[in-house]
Amino acid sequence: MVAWQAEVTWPLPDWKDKFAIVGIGETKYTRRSGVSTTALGLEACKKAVDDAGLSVKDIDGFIEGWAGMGASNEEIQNAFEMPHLVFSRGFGGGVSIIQGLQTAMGFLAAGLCNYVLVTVATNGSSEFRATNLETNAGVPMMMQGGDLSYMMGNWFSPFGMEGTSLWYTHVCQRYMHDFGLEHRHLGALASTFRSHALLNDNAMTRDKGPLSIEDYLNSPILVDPFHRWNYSLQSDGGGAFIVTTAERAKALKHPPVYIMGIGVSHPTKPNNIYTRREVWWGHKWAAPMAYKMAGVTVDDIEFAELYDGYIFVALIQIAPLGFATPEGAGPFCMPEENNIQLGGKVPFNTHGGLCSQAHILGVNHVCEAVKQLRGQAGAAQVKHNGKNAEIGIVTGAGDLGDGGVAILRR
Amino acid sequence: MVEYTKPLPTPTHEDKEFWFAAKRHEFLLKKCHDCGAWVWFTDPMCTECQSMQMDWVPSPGKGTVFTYNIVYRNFTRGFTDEDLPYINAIVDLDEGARMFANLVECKPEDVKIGMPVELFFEDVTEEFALPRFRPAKA
Repeated sequence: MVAWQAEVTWPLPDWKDKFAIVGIGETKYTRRSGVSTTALGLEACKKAVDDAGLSVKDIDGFIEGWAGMGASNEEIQNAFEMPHLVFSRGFGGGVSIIQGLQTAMGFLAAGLCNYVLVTVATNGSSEFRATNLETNAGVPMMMQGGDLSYMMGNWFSPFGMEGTSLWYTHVCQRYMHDFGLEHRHLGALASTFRSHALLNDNAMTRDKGPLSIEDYLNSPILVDPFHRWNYSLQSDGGGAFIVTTAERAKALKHPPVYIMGIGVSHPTKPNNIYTRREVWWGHKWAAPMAYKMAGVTVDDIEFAELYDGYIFVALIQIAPLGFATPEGAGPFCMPEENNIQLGGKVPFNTHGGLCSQAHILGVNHVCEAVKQLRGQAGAAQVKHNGKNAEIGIVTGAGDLGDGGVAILRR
Repeated sequence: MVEYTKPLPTPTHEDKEFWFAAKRHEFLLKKCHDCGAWVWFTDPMCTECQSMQMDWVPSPGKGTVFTYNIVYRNFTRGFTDEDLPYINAIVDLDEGARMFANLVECKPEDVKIGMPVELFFEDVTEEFALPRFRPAKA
């Protein structure tokens, strides 16, 4: 024992000789590359894939080597077209929480660690407000990491395309055109989420009263086709959760909430809203992966906490999750169908969601799902046939269309 | 010229050919040298074949609106309420590539998915011209 070397008293996994490096790629190292960091990253990645004797379609896991530093995950995925990825870790925006859960599971499965803590916090109201152009300056570029900043700087900002609603209104407009989605359908979702928030002590809108579909339709259109109540809240707050193995979970305080299945994926052209050919986000791949891993179908799902950066972002997940067809997703939400409200077939956003509880970057959705499955959701407790809900879904959705789905059970 | 307060592009290695041509009021599209697929201006690599060899080809700039939005509340630095409302349009060009620009000379109530449009350039500063779409002349 010496002062400059610690004595390792804690267990390590038996990983010796279990993994190998099989391909490497390097660009020329210079003083002036003459190309973007994205180009450098792509060149190196392609060389590594070729060196391993693989094709880009063989790659089903991706890790951004230095988060936020050039050649971001989405730039690479854009060029390699990788919706078949099973795992990716890089800047994820609103899918980060589900990526975090998936990463935790991976390391627990490998035996690297025992208890993984996942967290996020924000001062999205008092510090960075998306609607305050002073605090917003430069953030759209920073938030996306790497060379997506050039896409933002050259093809969004000069044209007045800053702000996430400027991007997703394009998708909503096309969804309305292709599948007959109407404003009142979005109003029904917003109205239902608000009704759930009114039951929640920790909802920012609990004193604001109900939001009717008429209220939604009468609110001004900020960016067509988004009415004002399509937008989520700006909030300060934090959330966290701890993940461990099923075995260790049984010895702890509360009944465990198990992860039955999980999927994370990205749309084709994940960093480009202009060249994408279809409206679908990563849930198109993430939901089937989660269901397949879980061995359940949509008929087993009793509630869903859907990442609702906008009401429309929740809507676009409904068909990929299997609740309805693309055309049926809007009508599915109407109150007379008795689907998505508490007491209905499969309540959505029982806490009010990002739109009516608070925008805590999706961690509040995980916490609400866990409370539901522990029977701790109070007035918003989902029950079917007199029994507390047994299986539920929580999702993430990141800019510009990443999707994450976790299926949980008690 | 009146002071221009809106953000300006920073031409990059990948898209500077577009901006140089734009200043000359010429519309160039980026195309993969190896497989001929259209490549977005800021992409260094072709998605179809992963080549990094690119060509720049002229385009007549004619197409139809694939989707759009209409901005009634400002979210962009350097834009003001005097710019409202304005229309953003993602366009399917006749040759199969996608393009994006503001759609001008068009009332908000008249923009439709599928409407024919044509691209032109507007000088905004000494250094830069921006692409714009307008409804195609019959």
